[in-house]
Amino acid sequence: MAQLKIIRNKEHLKMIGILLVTHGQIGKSLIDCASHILGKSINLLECVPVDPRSDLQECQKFIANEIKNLNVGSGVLIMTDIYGATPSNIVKKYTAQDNIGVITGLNLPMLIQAITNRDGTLSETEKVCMQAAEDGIIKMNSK
Amino acid sequence: MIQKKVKIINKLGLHARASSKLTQLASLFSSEIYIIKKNKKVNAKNIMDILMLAASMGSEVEIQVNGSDEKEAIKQIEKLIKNYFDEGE
Repeated sequence: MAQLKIIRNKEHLKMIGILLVTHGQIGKSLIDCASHILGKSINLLECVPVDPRSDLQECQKFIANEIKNLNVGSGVLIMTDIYGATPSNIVKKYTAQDNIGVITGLNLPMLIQAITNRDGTLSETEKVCMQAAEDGIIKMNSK
Repeated sequence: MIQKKVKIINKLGLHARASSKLTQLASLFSSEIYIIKKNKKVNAKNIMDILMLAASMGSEVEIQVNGSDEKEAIKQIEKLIKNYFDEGE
């Protein structure tokens, strides 16, 4: 058991952390769905909800703290729902940092790809996520 | 390289959790593993690629494996599919 713990910890060393900053409980629901689909609890994945009653300064503190905890050396990917809305506006300041990626338009395919493709570089994970988000939108009826 | 055709027999087809199980199993092998449905060929180690096949119950897919552990890989993947992805139906 102790050995398994050591192996897991080593895996974390090269894993990119993921932070969802979303309107209300969207982030938490997406994490629940992804955990169900992947059949396990997911490490280095957190969410910060933002709603109309949120104290934005408190949110900023939560976000800063989560980024600190999630960055185990490979950086952090922040994903928010709508570009231009408060969740994406409050993480805008992180876009200037090399070890933090910020992507908007969060959806479930994007999150699943992020979780299952985060052992390489931050830019590789970003690229895979954006492709998944795009590929996941399909008009199913033929007309 | 070895390949084998298998029918998807579980009720929900290659849905999200089944695709996840397939991906996790395929990732245990060093061989390159592909799933082919009609003319679409996808990487069996990527869950979103598998989901894009939208393979429902009754679909026929081909497993294509290339690498040092190809025999064991194809055997295990076929077993998972034939065992209804451990879903019971």
